Order: sequence, then structure tokens, then C-alpha cells
Amino acid sequence: MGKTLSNGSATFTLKYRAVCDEGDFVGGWKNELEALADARNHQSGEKSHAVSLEMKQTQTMMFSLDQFDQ
Amino acid sequence: MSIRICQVFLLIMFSNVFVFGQEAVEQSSKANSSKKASEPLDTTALTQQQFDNILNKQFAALITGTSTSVIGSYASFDVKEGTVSFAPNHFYENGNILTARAAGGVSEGALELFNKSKLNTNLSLDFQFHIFGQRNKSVIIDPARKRALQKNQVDADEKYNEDIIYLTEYEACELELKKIRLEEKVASIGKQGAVITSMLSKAREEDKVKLQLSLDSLSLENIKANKELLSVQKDLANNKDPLWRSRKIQDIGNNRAGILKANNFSNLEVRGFSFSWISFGLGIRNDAFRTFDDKQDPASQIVKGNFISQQAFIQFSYYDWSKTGPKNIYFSVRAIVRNTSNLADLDKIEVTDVKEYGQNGVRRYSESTLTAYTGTLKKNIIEVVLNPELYFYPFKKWLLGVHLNPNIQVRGSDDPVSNLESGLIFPFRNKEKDKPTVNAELYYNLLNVFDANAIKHSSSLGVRLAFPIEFKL
Repeated sequence: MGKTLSNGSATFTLKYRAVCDEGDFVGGWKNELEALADARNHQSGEKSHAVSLEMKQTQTMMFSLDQFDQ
Repeated sequence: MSIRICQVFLLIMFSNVFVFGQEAVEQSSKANSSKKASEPLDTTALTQQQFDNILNKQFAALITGTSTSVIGSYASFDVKEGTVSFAPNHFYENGNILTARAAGGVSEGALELFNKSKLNTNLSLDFQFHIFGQRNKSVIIDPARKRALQKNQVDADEKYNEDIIYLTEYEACELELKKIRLEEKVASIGKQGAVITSMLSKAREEDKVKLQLSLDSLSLENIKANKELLSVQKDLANNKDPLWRSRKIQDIGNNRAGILKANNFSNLEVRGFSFSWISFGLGIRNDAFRTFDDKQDPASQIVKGNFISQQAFIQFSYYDWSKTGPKNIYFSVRAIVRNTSNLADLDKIEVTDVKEYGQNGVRRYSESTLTAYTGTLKKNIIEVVLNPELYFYPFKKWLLGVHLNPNIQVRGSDDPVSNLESGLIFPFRNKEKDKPTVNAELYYNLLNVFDANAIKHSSSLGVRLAFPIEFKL
């Protein structure tokens, strides 16, 4: 689905989606390759529409009881 | 009254202890994670620090309406019509924000909290502490724009390194080489000149003109080479001067700083974010009023009074916003406890006193009108309110929003009262800037929902333009 990166207690998830600059298409959140495929598909039907990629970076903090023992 | 004021100040002090305690804990944990924060996670991802900077800025803008997230304290004043409001904010490194607001009447340019041991009649004080949620938050950016900024930053670093290496290692060598070449050139010109001068004395008259021309040309070349040599010698001397070198290093550093600032990630357009936060608030307010009792004799019918109401609340909020949508949500739930009076429920009337003056058949009247409340005033009523609120934009391009705002009030020993406010929001965009100018809400307010006659007696329909949160389109 997306790319996951871990940095100590924080975990980041990266997801991408294709967004038509003309506002008539917003793809789902996927991995970068799939989002780029969405962009290509949309442009094959709408040649004059520029499509941007958006990246959503989500941070999830992990709390464990071990942290409080120190 | 003074006991109650003391209670409020004790609560405020307690909240400050909590704030600074929280910061100390955060700082120690930050020291542990500072190493990790600067490490890049991935070439496409934002680092922890960049991620925090972007979201802290968005949070600060949402809470205080200012675009700054620089750590420190800021304040704004608003003075109009004899009242002043003072609103300082303090931003913490971990994104938390302490806000305060004091408003009151001004006398001779000063906002007095107490005057002759009496509290300023229009005074209100509010403190709010907003704890930025750490568990789940996200930001949406344009990765192509981020790559472009990142490339410019890397290029600026490379250029800086090249310039420094050139200055410290190669520039002196190049200047030395240039100097040697120029010295050789000057020597060669001198030799050629000597040869031509010796030829000139023995030459025939017709060749002398040609030789003289060559000599003049050599002389010009000699001047030019010597000038260049002087300049190189000067540069070489400068290059060996530590002050000159330090100045040049500073210029190179400033040049890089300018490029890095112009390509800072804070300039990255944020296309969406989601985060949650918890707010705590304390407030006091002093209301001055007059009551009117027609059963008393005229001299004591109108009585001046005042009441200091206190309020504390805790609120959880969640905001999920995306410029490109398709769905946007703001949700909050607030629990409020307040010590209040029933002043708002009393009837307000205007009382006019007429005075008559008369002498020698001339009659003159003067009128003074004041506003007073009638009914039985009850003070120190404890009120508890639970108030969830939802704004939901379900469609693409922020076409239409739905607003739901139910609340349950328990006041003193009265039965709980449930109210429901609902509305449809129509965002009107600014065509030029693609930003909202007005969010208009068509609302329907139903008081005491479980009362069978509520729709008939206590419902209202109207249009509202102010919202508890600034929605970005």
C-alpha cells in the first residue's frame, strides 16, 4: 500500500495519489508507482490536463511501557 | 468574592506548573531524540524535524491565527471604543501553545485590573493551553516541489564546498602560477626591447620607423603586463591575509545561506494535514448590571450589582483538511464547568427617570434612561455543558458543508436541557486568490429538543458567518 519508515519511536508511512490540476480527478492513496500509473491513465483520456502527485506522510507514535521504566 | 478570585489564580498557577513541567519532560526526551531528528529517513520523505516544523506552523496558525511558529512569546493589541484586548501567545518547541486573553474597559489609557480594591467592571481573563497531539498526524505535500527544493539545497551546499576548497587550496596556487607567467612575460618583453633598441642605433633610416613602431608596441605590452602583475601580486598578498580570507569565507557562507533560505522547506506548499489536540481553558469574567424591582419603594427599586463568573473547560479536537479533498472534517468535543448566574435568562427593560424643574410658571423636564434586569437573580449556579461539534465537507471542491452542534446542559438542580444546532455551509470563494472570503451557514437552532413544544416555541432559523475554526479551502 504505502512505504513505511521507522525512526525510533516514530513510524512514518508514505502514500501517494494523483491529482488533476483541473480538479476533475483525485486518485486513491497508493504507492508512488501506482499513483504515477493513475496519473498516466487520467492523462490518456484528458491530454490537456496536468496531473500532480501528492505525498501524504503520516506519523504514528509508538508508546511502550519500557520507556517509563528508565 | 476574594476567595473565589484566589481559587482562580491558584488554578492558573497550577496550570502554569503543568505547562512548564510538561516542557521539561519534552526537552529531556528531545535531547535523546535530537540525533534521530536530523537523520534523513528517505530521500522522498520529510525528516522528523521538517515534518514537525510544517505541522507546528499549521497548528499555530489554526490556534492563534498567526503564521509564526517560532519559539517564543508574541502578543497583539486591539484597542477600540474605550475597551482594550491583549492577547499574548507562547509557542513551545514541541508544538504546544499557551494563549491568554485579557479584555476590559480602559480609563485614561490604562487597563486596570483592580480599582480601589474592586475588579474592573468589563474585565475578562482567559487562559488556554493547547497540547498538540503526537500520536497520529499527517501532512500532504507535492513531492516534485520538495525534490526541486532539495536539489537547490544540495547544489548550494556543493557550490559552497567548491568555493571554500578553491579559496583555501587552489586560489593561492593559481595566483602564484599567474605571477610566474607574468614575470616571465615582463622579462621576455624587456629582452626583446633591448634587442630592438640595439638594432635601432645601427638601422637604416627607412627601417627605423618600423623598429620604432615595434618598440612602442612592446612598451605598451610591457605596461599592460606590469599592471596585471601588480594586480596578481595584490591578490596574492590578500589571499595570504587572514582577515581578507575570513571576509571571503563569510561572503561564500552568506551566499549559501541566501539560497538555503529561499529553498527552505517552510516554503513548501502544504496541501493537507490532519492532527488532533487537547485544550484546557480557564476564564473569569466580571459583569456589572442593574436590577429593577417594582415592589420596592422608588429610591431602592434599582440596585447596582456585579457577578464574577468562572469557567473551566477541556476539549478534544481533530482536524483533517486537504486542499484537493474530497472529504474534510473538523470534530471537537468540549466539557465545560462554570460558576454562573441566571442573568441571561432575566428580562431586560429600559427604565426612564423623569425629573421636573419648575419656577415662575416655567416647567422643564430631564430624562435619564438605563437598562435593568427584572426577575429573581440567582448567583453561583454551577453549570455543566457537554458540547460535541462536527463540520463535515463531504463533496469535492468544498461544495457544501454540514454542521452539527448538539449540547447537553445541566444547570444547578434543574433537569438537563438538550439543544441541537445544525446547519448547511456554503463556502463563497475569492475568484482571484482561490481562498475563502466568507463561509455562510444556514442554521437551524432547536432549544430543549426533548420538550414536545420545542419546535413551536424555541426554534430559530438564520444565517451565520462566524465559525469556531478558520476553514482553509
